[in-house]
Amino acid sequence: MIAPDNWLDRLDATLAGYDEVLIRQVAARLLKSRGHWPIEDLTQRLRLAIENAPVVDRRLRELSPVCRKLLALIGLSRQPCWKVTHLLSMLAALGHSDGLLPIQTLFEEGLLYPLRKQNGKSLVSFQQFLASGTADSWQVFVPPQITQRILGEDLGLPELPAAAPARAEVREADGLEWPLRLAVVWQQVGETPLRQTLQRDFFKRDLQRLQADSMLNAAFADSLGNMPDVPLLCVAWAKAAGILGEDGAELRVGRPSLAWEQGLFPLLRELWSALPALENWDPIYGWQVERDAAHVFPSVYLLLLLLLARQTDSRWVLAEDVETWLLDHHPFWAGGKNGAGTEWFAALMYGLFYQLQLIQHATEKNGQPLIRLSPFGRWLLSGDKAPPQPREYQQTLMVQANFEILAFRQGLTPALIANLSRFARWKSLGTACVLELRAEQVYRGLESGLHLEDIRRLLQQHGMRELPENVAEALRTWSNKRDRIVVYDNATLLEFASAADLDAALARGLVELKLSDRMGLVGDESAVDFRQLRLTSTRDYGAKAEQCLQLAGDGVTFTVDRSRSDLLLDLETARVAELLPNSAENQSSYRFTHESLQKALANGLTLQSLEEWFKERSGQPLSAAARLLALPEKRATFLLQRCLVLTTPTSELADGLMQFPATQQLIRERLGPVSLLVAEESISALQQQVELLQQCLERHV
Amino acid sequence: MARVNNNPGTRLAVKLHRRVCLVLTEDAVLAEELLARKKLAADIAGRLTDRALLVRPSRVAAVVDELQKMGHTPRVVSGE
Repeated sequence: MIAPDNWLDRLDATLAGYDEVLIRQVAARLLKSRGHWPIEDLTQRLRLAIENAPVVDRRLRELSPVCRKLLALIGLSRQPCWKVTHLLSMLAALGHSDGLLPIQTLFEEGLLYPLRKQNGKSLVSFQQFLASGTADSWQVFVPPQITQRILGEDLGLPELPAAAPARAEVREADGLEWPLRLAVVWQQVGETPLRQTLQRDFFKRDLQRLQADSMLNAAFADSLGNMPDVPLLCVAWAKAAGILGEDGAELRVGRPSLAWEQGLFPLLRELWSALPALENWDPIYGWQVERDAAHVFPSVYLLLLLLLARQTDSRWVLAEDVETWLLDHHPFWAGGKNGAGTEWFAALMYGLFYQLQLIQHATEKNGQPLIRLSPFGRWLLSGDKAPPQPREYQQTLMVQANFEILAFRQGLTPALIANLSRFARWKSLGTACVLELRAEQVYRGLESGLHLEDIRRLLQQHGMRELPENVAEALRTWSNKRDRIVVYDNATLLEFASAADLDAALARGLVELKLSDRMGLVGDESAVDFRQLRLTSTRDYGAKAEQCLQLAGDGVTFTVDRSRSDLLLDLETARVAELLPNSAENQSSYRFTHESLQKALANGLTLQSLEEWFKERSGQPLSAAARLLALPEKRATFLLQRCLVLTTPTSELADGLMQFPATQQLIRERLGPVSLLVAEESISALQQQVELLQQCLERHV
Repeated sequence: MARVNNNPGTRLAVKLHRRVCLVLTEDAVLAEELLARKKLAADIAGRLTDRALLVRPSRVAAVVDELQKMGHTPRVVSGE
C-alpha cells in the first residue's frame, strides 16, 4: 500500500502535467485566492492546502451530497486510486445517476485527480482527459488527506430487517486461509517462476499445473461455500498485493510487505485493499482474462461491506436480504434479473468474505443463513490505526522425527507463516497444517539470509516439544554443507606489496580473509577504511579488460605491463605461455612455445578463444609464428622441391610472360614484380618460347 | 620474519581489485574436483590459490548453476 505522503508526491507529479491555466482554475476553487502567484508557488500552496485539515473541511462542506459520497466511498475503501466506472456504479447503487458530473466537479474543485500516463503533453482541460478513453480506462485518485476528513458521511444505505439466530454460537473464520494460500503460492513461484502471455494470462502448462494444484485447491478448513478457480485467484491476489512481482514475462517472488510482520488485521487489510485490482477473477466466472468490459465486482465488494457496516454491531441480517438489495440497486443487475440465491453470491460471501474474516455467520431457526460484519470488518472501516491484539499462542508447532512439522492454526500468525515458508515446504493445509523440512527448501531459506540459528530458534520458540536430535543434526549438516563452497559475485581483493603488509591489514581489521601471502578478501567494499590504505592502482573486473600486452618482433615473445595488468591476465598468460626469467620490475616477459600452446589447447583452449584473448589484451591479432606453434599435430605438409627463378628486365615483360598463352603454362608462380618461379622440367620449353620471340635467356645456374 | 606494521598512522600500499568473481572452497581437494568438471572449468579463469578459483566476469550465474547440478549447495555472497 502506498503511504499517504507518497500520494502527495503523486499529486505533485499530476499537477506538473496540468497546463498553467488549469492549475490556476483549480487553485482558484481550492485556495479561494485572488493573488496571482508564480506557478511553482501555486503548486506548493495546493499541496499545503490538502494537508491543511480546516481548509479541506471547508471545501468538503461546500460540495453536493453526491460528491461527498463519492469521496467517502474512496476513503472507506482505503484505496485512493479507483477506476471511474466502479465509482459511477457505486454512486448509481446509492441512488445517484448523475453520470460524470460529480467526477468533473471534483476535478475542478481540486479534490479528485486524474491518473495519467506522463506523455509530455500538458492537460489543458478535464474534458480532454475524459475524451481520451472510456469509463473503463479512466483512473482517478484522491490523496488520503482529503478522504479521511469525510469518512463519517451518511451514504444513505438502508437498515435491513433484523433476524434472530437459532443458536447463540457465532461462526467466524480464523482469517488464515488466504495468507496460508498466498504463502504456498510464494513458495511455489520461488521454486518455479510462472510465465505470462502478453494478455497477462498463463501459458497452458502453468495454467494446468495451477488448476490441478492439490494444496491451493484444498477445501477451506472452516468451509461455508466453494469458490471458482481459487489457485488462479491466489496467484493474481499475490501479484496485486506485491507478494509476487513481474520480471518481464515472468512472475517471480517479491518481497512480502511489513503487514506480514504487523499481524493478522493489517495483513487482511492489505489483501482487502488489493482486491479491486483483481481484474481477471470474479465470483461469477472465476478466472477469465478476456472480457468485454471491466468486471463489476470492485464496486460490489465495497458496497456490500458498507451495507453490512450500516447495521448495528450485534444485528444479524438475512444473507438473502443483502443479496436482494444488491440486485435491486446495483446498475449491473438493474432490477434483480438473476433473482436472489445465486451461486456466485454464496461464493462471494461464504468463500471470499468469510475466509477474509469480514463477516460472521449464523443460521435462523428455519435454516436461513444470517450474516453480520465481523470485528475485523468494523476495524477496517473505522480507520483505527492500532488493530486489536489477537491472542498469541507461542507453542503451536510440533516438529517430528520424520522431518514433518505440524502447525496448529490457533497459534499461527502471518509472521510465523512467512518465516516458516522461507525454510519449510508446505505439504498440506487444513485444521492442522503440515510442512516438511527438506534440504532444498532449507538452502533457499539460508540463501535468503536466514541463519541456522534463526531456524533453530524459531522451531524451539514455537515448538511444543524439543527439536528431535536427528532434525537438529540434519539442519546442522545442511548448513555446513552449504558453507563448503562460497561464491562471491562482487568481491574486493586487496593485493599488498608484502606479506607483512597483509598481516598488518589483518591486524587492523581491514581484511576479512587471507587468500594468499599477499592477497586479502573483503566481501563488501563499502566497509573498507581507505584512510589506512594507499592505492597504487585499481582494477575493475566489471569493466572492459585493459590492453597491457606488447608483442615483440619475433611474434612469440611478449611483455606484460604489470602496472596495468590484472589477476585474470596473470592466470591467462601462465596458461598459454612460459615466463621468461629476465623480467624487469614493472614488466614480465613471456614466450609462446610449442609446448605451452599445445598444453593449453589440450586443456580445452580453442585457437579462436586464444585469438580473441590476444586481440583483447594486446590490440593486435595473434602472430603467424604463434599460429604456427599452435598448429595441431600433423595438420600441415610442407612441400620442398627444386625450382628456378626467372628474372625479367622489367615488370611489364614479366606481365607479358604471365599473360602470353604459350609461356603462361610454363610459369608456376609469380614471386615478385620481376621474379617468376619456373619448374626445372619446364626450362627447355620456356627457353624455346623465348627464342621464338627472338629474345635471349641466360642461365646462371 | 617480516615485522607486522601495526601503526595505524602508516598507510599500506595496496593494489585494489574490484568486482572480482570468486569461488572459495573448503579445501584444495574440492577445488580440484571443481576444476575437473569440464563445463565449470570453461568459466573459471584460473586458480588464484589452492582454495580460490577466479571466475570469468559475468559467468557467476552459470557457475552457481553448474555447482548445483553437481549436487553442491554454494552460498552466494552478493556485494552491493
